[in-house]
Amino acid sequence: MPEKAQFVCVTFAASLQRHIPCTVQNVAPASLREVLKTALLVAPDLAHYIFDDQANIRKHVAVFINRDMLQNRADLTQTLNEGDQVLVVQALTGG
Amino acid sequence: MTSLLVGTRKGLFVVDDKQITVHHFQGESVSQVLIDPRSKAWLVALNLGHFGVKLHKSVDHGKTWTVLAAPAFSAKPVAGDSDFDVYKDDPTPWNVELIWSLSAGGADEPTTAAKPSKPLATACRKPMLTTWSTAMAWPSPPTAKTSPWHPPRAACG
Repeated sequence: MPEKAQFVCVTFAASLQRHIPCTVQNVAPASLREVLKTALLVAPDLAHYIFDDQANIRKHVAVFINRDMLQNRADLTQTLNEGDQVLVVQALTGG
Repeated sequence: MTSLLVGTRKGLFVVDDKQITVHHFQGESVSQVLIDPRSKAWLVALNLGHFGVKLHKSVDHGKTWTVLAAPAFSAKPVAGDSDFDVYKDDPTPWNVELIWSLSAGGADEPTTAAKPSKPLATACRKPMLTTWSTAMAWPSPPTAKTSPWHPPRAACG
């Protein structure tokens, strides 16, 4: 059985990296807000693309945690565990 | 040489001698441009839609660009905030959604630029600092409704 990852893996979609490059980040488990904050230390300018003025996730940015989309953009307190995967993507709308 | 800067929804065009010579920020919506009459620096406000408003500055006529900290509203007032308590239940998004005007500070304020934004607010920025400070904010102004069309914005310098 493969060993469980000790970190939370945070990936930023290409649509975000088009503006500010940021490789996949492996950070220590913590709350979602802390995990994102730590992951963005290598690309601090990217934070403004993800968070709005009130430090909530932007309206048209989606955050997935192990394939489950974050529903409350203001509540980032949920605790992430070792091996969790976080994906930050542009929320496409329209047709 | 005098350049004409034209901000459009498809980027910033630099026009010299009636010819488009450079195209910056290709595909991005430029909501406002400013050539600071004091320093001749170029300031360009972008509306990236999904990713919010951004502000870029060039001091070498577009050869290189520096990303400036975009203006932002401070934390929305909460109950008990004596100065702005009246806004605690205001339904207007407490975020800068568009920089629709830029203007330079006075000759005696060489490091200051001022801009109104949407929701209507006036913020002052001292480029030596990393943040803007919101001087005034009216969350529900009549001018918050923007025109459905998006006219080009131009500046000469």
